[in-house]
Amino acid sequence: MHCLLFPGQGVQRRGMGAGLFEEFGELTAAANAVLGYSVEELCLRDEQRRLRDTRYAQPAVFFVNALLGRKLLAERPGAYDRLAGHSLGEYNALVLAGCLDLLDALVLVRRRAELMAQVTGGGMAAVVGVPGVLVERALRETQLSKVYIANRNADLQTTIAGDSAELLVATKAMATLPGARVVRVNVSGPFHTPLMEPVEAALAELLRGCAFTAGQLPVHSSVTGELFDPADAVDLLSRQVSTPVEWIRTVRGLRAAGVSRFDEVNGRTLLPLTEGIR
Amino acid sequence: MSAAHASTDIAVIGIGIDLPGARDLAAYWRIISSGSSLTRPFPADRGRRLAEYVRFARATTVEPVTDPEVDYYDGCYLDEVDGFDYAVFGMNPKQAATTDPHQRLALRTMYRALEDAGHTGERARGSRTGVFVGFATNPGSTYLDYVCRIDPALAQLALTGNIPTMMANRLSHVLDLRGPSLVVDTACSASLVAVHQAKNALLVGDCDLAVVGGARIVFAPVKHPHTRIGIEAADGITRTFDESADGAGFGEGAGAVVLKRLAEAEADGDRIHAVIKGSAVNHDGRTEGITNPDSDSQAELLLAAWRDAGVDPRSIGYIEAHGTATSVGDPVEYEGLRRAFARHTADPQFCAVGAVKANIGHLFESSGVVGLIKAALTVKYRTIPPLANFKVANPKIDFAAGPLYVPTSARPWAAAGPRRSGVSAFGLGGTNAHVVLEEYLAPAVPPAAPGPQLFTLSAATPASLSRLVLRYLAFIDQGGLAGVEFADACHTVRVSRAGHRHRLAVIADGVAQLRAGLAESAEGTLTDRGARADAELVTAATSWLAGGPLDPPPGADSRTPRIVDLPGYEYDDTSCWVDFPPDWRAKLSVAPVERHPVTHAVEFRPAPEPAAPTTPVRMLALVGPDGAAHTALTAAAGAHELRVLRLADQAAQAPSAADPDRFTLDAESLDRVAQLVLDHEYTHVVHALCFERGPAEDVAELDRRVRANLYSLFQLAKSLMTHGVKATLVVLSRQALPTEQGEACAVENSAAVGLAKVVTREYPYLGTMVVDIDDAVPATALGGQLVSPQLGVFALRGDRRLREVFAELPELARTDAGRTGVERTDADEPTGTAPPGYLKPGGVYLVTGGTGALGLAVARFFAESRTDLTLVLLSRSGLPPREEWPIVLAAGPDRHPMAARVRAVEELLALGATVEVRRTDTGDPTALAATMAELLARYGRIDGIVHAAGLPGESSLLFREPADFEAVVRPKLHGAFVLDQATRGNRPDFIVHFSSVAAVFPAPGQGDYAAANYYLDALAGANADEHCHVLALDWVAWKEIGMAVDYGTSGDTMFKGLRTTTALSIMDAALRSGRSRVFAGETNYGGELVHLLGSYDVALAPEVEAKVRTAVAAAEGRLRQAAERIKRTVDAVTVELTGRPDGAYSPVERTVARCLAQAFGYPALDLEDDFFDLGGDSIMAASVAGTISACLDVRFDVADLLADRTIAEIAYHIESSGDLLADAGA
Repeated sequence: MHCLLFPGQGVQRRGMGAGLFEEFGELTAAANAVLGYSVEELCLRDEQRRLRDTRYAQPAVFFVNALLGRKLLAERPGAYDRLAGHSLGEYNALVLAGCLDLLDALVLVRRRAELMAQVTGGGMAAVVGVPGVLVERALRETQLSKVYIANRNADLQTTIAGDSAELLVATKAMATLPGARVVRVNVSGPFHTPLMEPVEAALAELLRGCAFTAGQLPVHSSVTGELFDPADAVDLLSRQVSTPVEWIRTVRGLRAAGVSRFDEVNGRTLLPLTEGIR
Repeated sequence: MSAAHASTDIAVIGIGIDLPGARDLAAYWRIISSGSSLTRPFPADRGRRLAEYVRFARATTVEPVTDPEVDYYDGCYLDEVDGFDYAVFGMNPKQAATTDPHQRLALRTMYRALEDAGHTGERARGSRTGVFVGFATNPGSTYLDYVCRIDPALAQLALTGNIPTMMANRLSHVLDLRGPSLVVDTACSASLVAVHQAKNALLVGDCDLAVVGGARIVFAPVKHPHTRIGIEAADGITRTFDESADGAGFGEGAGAVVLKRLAEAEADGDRIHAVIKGSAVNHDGRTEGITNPDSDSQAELLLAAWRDAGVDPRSIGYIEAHGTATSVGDPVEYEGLRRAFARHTADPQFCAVGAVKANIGHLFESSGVVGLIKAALTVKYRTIPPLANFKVANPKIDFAAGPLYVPTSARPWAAAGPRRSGVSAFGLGGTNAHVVLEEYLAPAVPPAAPGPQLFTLSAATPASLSRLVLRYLAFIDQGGLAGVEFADACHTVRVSRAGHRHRLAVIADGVAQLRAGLAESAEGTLTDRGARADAELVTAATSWLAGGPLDPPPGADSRTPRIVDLPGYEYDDTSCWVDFPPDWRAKLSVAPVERHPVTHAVEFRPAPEPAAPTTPVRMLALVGPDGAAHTALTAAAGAHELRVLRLADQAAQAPSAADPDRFTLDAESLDRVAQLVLDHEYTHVVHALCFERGPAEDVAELDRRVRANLYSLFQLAKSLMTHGVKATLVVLSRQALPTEQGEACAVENSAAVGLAKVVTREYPYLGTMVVDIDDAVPATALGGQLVSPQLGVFALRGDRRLREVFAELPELARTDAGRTGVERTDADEPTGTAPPGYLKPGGVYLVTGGTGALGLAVARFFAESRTDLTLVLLSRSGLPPREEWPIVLAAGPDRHPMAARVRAVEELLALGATVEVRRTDTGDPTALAATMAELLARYGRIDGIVHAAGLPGESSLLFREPADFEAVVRPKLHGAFVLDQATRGNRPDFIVHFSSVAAVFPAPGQGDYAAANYYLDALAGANADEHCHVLALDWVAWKEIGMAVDYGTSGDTMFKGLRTTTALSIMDAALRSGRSRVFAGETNYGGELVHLLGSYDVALAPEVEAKVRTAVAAAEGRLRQAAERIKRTVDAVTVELTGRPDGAYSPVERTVARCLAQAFGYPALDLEDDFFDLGGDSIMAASVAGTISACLDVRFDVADLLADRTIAEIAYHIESSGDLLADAGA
């Protein structure tokens, strides 16, 4: 079985989606109307450097992901048996699966980004080269109360996130682990940690206003790693912002379901992670 | 003249020259026609710049020269060789400064030649233009040597600036020229041979245009007896054909010509300086010495060239001789000329001879093209120039009787037909070239239609542009455009002077208007002086000024516009030079090299009483069913909390919830143990299963112990890690480790020590302590040990407390005076004079891993030591059948995996050994035992065994599957056990086990490997048979062969990689020494990893500890100095930052800008300049990222730089997450 993966925030680059906006002219126009600005200008030129800003980065990544996914599926109908996405990318998986309308999702994503951007004073860092259990142990050892595991990305890649000052202390501790490399993650807040809980209720409210349908393709949740039941959408997607991205579990779940090949849209971010999962 | 000949004529349509005091043809011709000699002292400024480098070079030779005086030869030198206009050639300042001045000089001269030919910019882009350069690196200093002496780190950046081929290739790259691009090296004839190659390339159609160039700089003409090669004049003055000639003086400069097939040059309206009628190249063949010239070959060369040219030699009026001005070379050259002419005419003294070397010195590889230019000018200007410095002819030459004469003043050249000249160049190695030239008789130029013309000038920098304007004004004022069709001058600038970024344009009707227009012009503007300003011209000019291509409307007539003589490009030079640090003496420390032993001992030494615990101890112990450990622990625990879990009997089923004090060896049960540790916050987890007495008697028992003890520790450690436990993991064993030779031990259990060491390397929250006890240890001693905060490997024997210690072992080198033993020199040959005593005449020796690189090296060492041995090589994969060997060998190691080992075995046979290769898996005890039985039955006795089989470990314990763990353990551990067992009844003289540094200082991922190797060490230590020498060698990585090389981990780490000869010498010395264990490796005290030695829980002997401490301090000092040096260097950089209207930049932006400016050398940078556009590449990125990281004291690596790329982005990310990035490792 083949699975298509969608990356989340962090893959934004100036120039992404070049050529797609003309190809999907109507959709792009509709997206511009929803967003109130030109998504094409944002992705291709971005002279004001708004892609640095969560509020803009998320809709941009989501929309480019969505166009790429749509194009891919049009070119190769039936090529994929499963879909999954990392954090924001999960919305793309649901859209392509047919569980959620693209423009509805864009509205949702824009609001989600705005909500997430309200939580400031935090950051994220990836700890690469050491097993996750060691990162968790080291994190406990720091006795910090506001740094958490944010992504379990691969056997040897774990993201931690939290309050800026505490995160500084934590990254110093992580860097002393044998073989560890600490890499910054350019996001504005402590995503996927309990520090995001203030966002959850508002997001749940928005999600309740959306129609989630059964869809044509099964999607695996990045929160549980299991099949995403549209009936649980409000719970799963609202929890998603304040709980770790369980990417290891997601990939293992997909493999257990019979997936043997993965493809990815919008760059190569998730495939190396996927290869790094036993 | 036949039409066929006409079609091979080549036009010289462009010339570039750069000589001392001569940067254009007129100046060059003044030197030639006036007979000037440019010899003078080495320019004082250049001498001063070099002096410290020369002193440095002298001070650092093996036999230092202390004389502080630096004298230079006189010669014909350029005033400066550091100036360069990097912008024209798409380089950044730093790149330019690390580029060989030869390349820079060649580039600028070839560019000027192309301009002179009217072919640059758009007209040249993508054209089939060839670039041919004559060049060779000469003895003595190269610029790359010089640069790398100052800073070896510059080598990478300097690469493309110093590889000879880049002299040609860079011009092709910069101008986008698609013809052949190459450097010719035939020594002093190189650039004339290049002309010949270019001519041929044009004639066969490899290219449609060719530029040929050469450049010569004398980097450091220092007077020193060893720098003379015998062809340089003592006083630097060249006296070709003169009686006092003693060689050519040094010359510097460059020349370049642009060639095109004559018919096309005429059709294209090119200005033709002269025509190449023909040429030839040959070699002296076998002369008396390779550097001896030969007049026969030279005569043949001339005859061949004349044939090629299809001209009557009698019509040649001037010969530009090679003219080395040596007492031997000049008469030989004269004789060659005389003989060649004699084949065609007996007329005396009709042809003048000269040599420009007498004017400008010897330009080595570029002398040919410079001579060609002179020969072209003689026909162009119809003048016979004088031979400089000529007074009295060399007595060996009888000019009066021959065809040649020496002109001593310039005179007009009268001739009936077109004037013809020839030019010779001879290479030191015997490659000769000759080219025949002819005057070009230009047809009358039809006048152009009058009307306004667009005149354009452009330059890479504003300074160049304004200088160009002044130059053109002067050129006009000196009558440079007199007699020139104005339309042609405008055409010439448009096709060859319009490609640069800074531009100006003038529309004018004629020279007067142009002059006036130029005088008031400014960059970026169109000055319209045209009386009838043409709208089309204005449009073309405006679009071009805005950066577009130049696309002027066609002329009013159908006339082909012509290229005319105009001033060349005005380079905006800046000094591009890497200065030698004047304070080099202070930085240079030639400290004596400290020697360290290549062997170490790992042994148990008495240790002081353990310290008391600082925090409460809560122990959870896993014990075996027999109760011995339980009893010992209960007694030892005293007041400390202790909970004991007992291994369920085999018969019993898995422990139920009702049976909480039992555990089993499966992962689920051990996971429950880990959970228990978490739940009850145990501080110590004691693995107390290794309690058997004495060694295993058979494989079944061995297997049982390995599974119950080693594999249980593996699973336990894995479970503890998975659960994120933080605790001390104690491996408590009973007499598993021999503390003295021959101590009866359950040696299998020692493998747990190797594993325990790795656990803590991979997962620092599990500290590991090994406690090996005997029955006489008092309970209090054990108790004190268990709760001691000090980790490591301990053996308690009665009241004695021993600890594993790593110590130097220098005496091994002295155990056998008859052989060089462990000499550390690289050239050391392991074969001594007498065969070693441990090898018996006619003996049978078994090597496991026998077809591996190390096994074969050992076999070879044995075979070389004695020629009558039988070598049995056990191999997992075996050898192909004998009859296939020739095929395998023919395929070679790249195409057949067995080829290398087949060759090695053949070499063993050739050395006289009898070789048997047995296919046996050492990791399969049954198979190995069967093989051993068969071998013993066949040979009666095996006289010695080397157990070199092994597989590397390669995964951290957390991700290690039990089957993979076993696969690494078995060949070593089970293999060694079976070898030992199989020879119980008939002991060999020796058994050598190849153990590893991993047994002592393992790396993460080596759990299985370290365990198996620790067993080999213990097995050797426990051996009690004094007739059989069991030896374990703890190898560090072998540098040249073996596992470390295969897995790419060779080289120097904490220890220096072992050369094969050194390793075999150590084995030899160890076999002679009678020791049971030798750690074979030299501590790499000069390396950056030496501090890691102190990070292990292995006690370091005082001598080692002291050296490590010193070395760590030294390494830290080096790092600190390096960081400070970087900071100082960057702080000293000034760079103008642009890109923000308000001119406000943050301190981080300024620092990042300085870092980039330091890397590339730009005086100004924009916030949005892209790293790659500035000339960066992924290799440079590492050093730039390091610089940024050091200067801002943040974590910033290559990946960050490659993602951010601009000053703005880099600074933004550092500022926004700056705190986050603070270097946590420091």
